[in-house]
Amino acid sequence: MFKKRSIIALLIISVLLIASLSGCGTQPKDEAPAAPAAPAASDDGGETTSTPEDSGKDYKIVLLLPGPINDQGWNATAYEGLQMVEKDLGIKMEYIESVQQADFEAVFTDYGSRGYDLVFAHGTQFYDAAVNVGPQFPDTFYMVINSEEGQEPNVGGIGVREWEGGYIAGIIAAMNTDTKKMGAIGSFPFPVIAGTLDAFEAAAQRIDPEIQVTKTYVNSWEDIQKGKETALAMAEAGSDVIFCSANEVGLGSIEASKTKGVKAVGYISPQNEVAPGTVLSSVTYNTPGLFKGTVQQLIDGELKPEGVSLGWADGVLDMQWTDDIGQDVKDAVYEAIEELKAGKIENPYKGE
Amino acid sequence: MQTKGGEMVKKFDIFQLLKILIPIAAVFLALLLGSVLLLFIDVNPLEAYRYLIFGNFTNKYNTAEIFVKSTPIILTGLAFTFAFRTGLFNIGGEGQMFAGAMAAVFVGLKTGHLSPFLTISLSLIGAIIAGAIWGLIPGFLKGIFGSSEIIVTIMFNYVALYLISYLVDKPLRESIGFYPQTDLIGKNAFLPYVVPNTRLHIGFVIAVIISIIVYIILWKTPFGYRLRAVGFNPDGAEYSGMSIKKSIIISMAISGALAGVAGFTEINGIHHRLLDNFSKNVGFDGIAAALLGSANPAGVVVSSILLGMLQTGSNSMQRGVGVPANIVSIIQAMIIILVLAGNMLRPKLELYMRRKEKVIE
Amino acid sequence: MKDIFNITFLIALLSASIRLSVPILFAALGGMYSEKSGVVNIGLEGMMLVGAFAGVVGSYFTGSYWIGTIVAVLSGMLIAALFALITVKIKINQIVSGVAINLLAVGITSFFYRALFGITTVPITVNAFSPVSIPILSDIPIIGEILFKQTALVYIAFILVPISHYIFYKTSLGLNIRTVGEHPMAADTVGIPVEKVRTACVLISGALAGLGGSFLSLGQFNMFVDNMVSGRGFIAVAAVIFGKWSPTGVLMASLIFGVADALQIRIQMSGVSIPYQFLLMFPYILTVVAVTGIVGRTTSPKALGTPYEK
Repeated sequence: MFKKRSIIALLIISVLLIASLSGCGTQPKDEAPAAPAAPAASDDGGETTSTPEDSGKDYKIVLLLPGPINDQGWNATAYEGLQMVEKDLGIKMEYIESVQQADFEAVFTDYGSRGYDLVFAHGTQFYDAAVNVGPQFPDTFYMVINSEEGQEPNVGGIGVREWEGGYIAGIIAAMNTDTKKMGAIGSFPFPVIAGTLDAFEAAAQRIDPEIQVTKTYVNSWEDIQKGKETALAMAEAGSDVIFCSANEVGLGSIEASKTKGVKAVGYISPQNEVAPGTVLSSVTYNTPGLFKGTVQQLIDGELKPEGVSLGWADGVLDMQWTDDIGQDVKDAVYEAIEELKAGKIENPYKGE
Repeated sequence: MQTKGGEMVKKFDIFQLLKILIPIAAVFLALLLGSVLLLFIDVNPLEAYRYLIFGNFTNKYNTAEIFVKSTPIILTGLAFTFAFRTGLFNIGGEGQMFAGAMAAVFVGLKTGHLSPFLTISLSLIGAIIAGAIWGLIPGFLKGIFGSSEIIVTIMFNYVALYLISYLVDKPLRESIGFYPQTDLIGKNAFLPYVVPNTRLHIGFVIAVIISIIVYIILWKTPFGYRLRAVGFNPDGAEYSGMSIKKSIIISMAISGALAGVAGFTEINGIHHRLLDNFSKNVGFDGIAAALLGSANPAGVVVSSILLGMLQTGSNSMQRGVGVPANIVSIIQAMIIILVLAGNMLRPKLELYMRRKEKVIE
Repeated sequence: MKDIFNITFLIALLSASIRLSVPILFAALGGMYSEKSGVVNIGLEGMMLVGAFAGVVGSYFTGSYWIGTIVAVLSGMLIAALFALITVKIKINQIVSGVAINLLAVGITSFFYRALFGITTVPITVNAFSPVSIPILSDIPIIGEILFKQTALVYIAFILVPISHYIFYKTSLGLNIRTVGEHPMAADTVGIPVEKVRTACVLISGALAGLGGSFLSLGQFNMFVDNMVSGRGFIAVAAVIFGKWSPTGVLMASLIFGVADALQIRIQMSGVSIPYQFLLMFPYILTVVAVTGIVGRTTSPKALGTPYEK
């Protein structure tokens, strides 16, 4: 056993020696990294070289995502933001998917030490790590999406009032129900999601106090069979409009709505095309715009280390209407949007 | 191949060399297969692999990350090793780590204002006890009912996972209530850092010390000798008066305690709070490390460090060249499989080579 | 909760239970073959995922969901072949191998999905199964509604149970499998090719797990979503054990887990707030109780988990 240990130790030492020697020679960290891995069969043509219209400074920007980019929801919209920045501003952003919580600080440190200009962190959970690491790299700006706080000198937050989206969805649903029963499905009972479902209910009951909303959580972002079964159960119990805030799981609930012949409200991604005839309309998020706006601020030197909270008033939410939605629904929605913009409606999330 | 002495020397060189060459060849093969995928998405494999291997060492922080990542793997690896040496398969390292973490957080939240020495020691003790309990129950079930510990420990992993999920969701959720995690434990319960400006905390030192302790217990004490005897030959051991049931239960308890310490190092050293799904897959990495390290403590430490290098290197590769997460998964899985395969095939290769030599003679 | 005594509710509940239990049933039947021959298969989750993906790919390129299903079965077997190579031939620890297979499957399905279809806002949809009513039988009140208006794959799953029972207990192949799982050395002495039998069983487990995966993507939906298996493979592992490694037992276990799942959804809807995490723990705790033998004796195949060295 002694011999083996010494051999292994020898191995380690030699590897480390070689590595440190080569590590000194080649400096991987300051190279301009190769283009992010764009899939071979990408649909839109936004990936060929685009001429930057700004002063030609090469901005180093990275997008950190807690999940995969094809999740139909949170991370997908961020990826769209990346594409928009590339198309409209001519800047190529990198992205890293599925960053684990344990690695947040390490990742922030890495990009900070490599002198990146802007680091997008897509999710509140990144905030603590950003605040810890930020002060060490004052030349790098860390923008946390869905955080309403910031920190001097280089941590900013953009919070999205998702409950406002749920509220509007509630209005659309309430004006299209015959049974006066509706279903709202959420992923996990986090405050953000729970707030969205509560707003859905509050809006519906404002339209008609007799409406009953059943709220459930599937505890997953990807289990579409669960989403389908939950929506089926709701439909069987009498709901005729179903709303879902759970990324990919929403596809399951829309499918169930289609099977049962009830209606659905699309959310986050424009989902009208997923099941035409079933989806009444979609409440969409203009998250891509947030990214473009922030990058523009970077270019203009206007990044502020503060947190902002955005809702309808700031253009971060939008509607994707279908052709067969009634004008009265549209009117009610626009009226509610005005009220939300004016701050007349309160966040109905009651907390646990 | 002249004198007998000369022959022996030559054989010695080759076979010892194989111990190093085969794992390297395995990694090489895995990287080769991975490069096919990388070429498919227009990423230069050589550049990617340069990050994988050397991205670890670009700066102090990254190098320290290797040891940070390897700390819990060492401990769960030791847990598996201890049980293995006594004839048991403890697959529950993950769950026992979670149990230890729950205890450490609880202690840290309640006593975090006390002196660092006190609160850290209490957290460690709490984690050891919790891990021991989580290992003891499957051990008990095996001893009394004969239930397979492989199965029970796997089930207990899930129970612990969901228990944590519940704790951070309701009773222990942070006071601002925004995210499913607990508040931070008291500042004094944070483990001090060994190297400033990195995340390397004394947990790593603790892990190495524990590996030495495990070695001493198993190989240098009568107690350990008895446990190993039971593992090696249960019937023979029983004849010489050792109670198998007791051995099993004690062994699983100690094994669980070792994994519980991993929960302590991760909570008090890295996360400083309890959250859903922290330190994913550490339990299985530990088993892989134990297998690679031939179930002896020194080997476990070395293999854990290598696995830590693999992880930090993969992160580096992802960031440096934009290799997507799914390819990283594939490469990691292949490296582990191929290195383990190489390990398994080495004795056969040695046998083959020995036979060849005899024929040449 | 007064609804629970309503017939329509019960029918809907049991129909849903069937749909929820079928993926577990497929994978658990597969796992049962593997474990009966002595190989612990934790990689069921990965094999299901590969099957789900391959099924969609097959249906995409040929327009036929039956061909998609066949592709799913073959792909499951392919991954299982790798697993068999690692665990039966090279004899690496079965647990680690299973976990590695799962890792591999997640990476491979994600990679090839993006390579083939790119990143789209709406997932690619393909031709898929629709429910098929079995004539006459589906007209039976209540039972007909629950059991005989499902997709074809459901019927296949249920038929596999008596077929497996027959194989295990009435054929020499079954005897070989069981012997290899209990006393590989004895089996070897009698001339049974231990490694071949184990490999065959692992391949079967891959085929069935792949089938279970395609049930999710083609039988319940018409698309593939990253990670859509969401842990069913692991519940299947528990189901094999809870079902005491027998086809009827596995059927019962899968159904129980399916009912629990369907019930959990409806309980939540009615506002009763049991923390969902405890409901998620349920299959695993149940399995531990079963293994202790308090509720009936349980004996795992004696050689389960140990590679056989000649």
